[in-house]
Amino acid sequence: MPEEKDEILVKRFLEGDERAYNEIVIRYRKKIYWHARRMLGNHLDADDVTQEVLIQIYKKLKTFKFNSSLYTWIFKITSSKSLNKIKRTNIKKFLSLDNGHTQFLRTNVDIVKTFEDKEKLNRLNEILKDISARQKEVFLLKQFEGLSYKEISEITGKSIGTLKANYHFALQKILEKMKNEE
Amino acid sequence: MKNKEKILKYLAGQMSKAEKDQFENEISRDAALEKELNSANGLLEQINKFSDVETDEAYFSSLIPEIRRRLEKDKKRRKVYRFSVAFTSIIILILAFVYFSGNQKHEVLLSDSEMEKIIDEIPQNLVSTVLSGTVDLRGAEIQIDEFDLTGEYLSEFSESDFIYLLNSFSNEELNELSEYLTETKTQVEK
Repeated sequence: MPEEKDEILVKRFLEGDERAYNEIVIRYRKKIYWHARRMLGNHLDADDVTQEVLIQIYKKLKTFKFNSSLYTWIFKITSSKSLNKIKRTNIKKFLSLDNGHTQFLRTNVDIVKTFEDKEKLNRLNEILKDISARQKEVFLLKQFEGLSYKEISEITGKSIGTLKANYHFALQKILEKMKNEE
Repeated sequence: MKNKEKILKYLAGQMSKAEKDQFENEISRDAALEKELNSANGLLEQINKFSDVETDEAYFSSLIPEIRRRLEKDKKRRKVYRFSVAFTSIIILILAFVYFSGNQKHEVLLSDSEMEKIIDEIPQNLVSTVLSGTVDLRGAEIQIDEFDLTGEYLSEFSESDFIYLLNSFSNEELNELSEYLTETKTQVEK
């Protein structure tokens, strides 16, 4: 059976059909999780953000007017919450509030099954480590989600010129790092 | 322009139509440039494979029940007052004090006039909850004025209180705090 369009799911939800929300979650949960995961670099924080995003979708869907696609709207929430998470973590570190137990959980709790896969994600974290959160955001949306600058601009609220510059600098650092590792 | 810079501009979509045509022409004539571009594209393809991993599907299946449980809990939870941006100023002060009182080698950075300015910006009748009942800012003003910067005033604030506060901040407040602390840290390090 073909999938219902996002518009129809939203309409059903607004008419009180709770199952429509479940379908939206099923459709977008992995995209939300993986964007957050790549932004934040660990499962614990990605899980926090994923749950926050899904709760916000439930609460704010009634205000969604289809001025953008549901996909863009969801990514806007995910990106914003991921950036906020990074800021909160930095503030906690700055104020020495990020304790050892949380650090331990960040490193050890995961949904990735095999050692090889964990190594792949560690490699990705390592490559993305030295670029700023804003540059990382643009790079990930373009590289992994295949979004255009126009769509990324709708998500981030930044001009296309700024996004291109961010992508350029991200790319420069990433390629240099990968070449050096070869 | 060096090859590397040209390739970055090309991949980032920063070339005009004319520049792009010229670059693509150049590729067909310059084997070294073509090789460099292919190498960059190869590395980008490699990056995508880093996320191609097998995960525990039970996690994704558990999300809907977990979200439903949290939504239900939310409905029952008492309403928490939101902080206003003005109130953030006082929290910034408190957080800054915590930081600096925990770092003996640093002096507190706010001058009396800076502190007065921040205090003046706080509406006198503004009241907030979340910590322990209500905080009368008029009272807080007196306490801050008398605060001797040894950290005693903060003894009632636990780590979890601060983390709770941090999680309560709006985007605007979070940006304000983040910028303030970064700026303050830079000043200290100079």
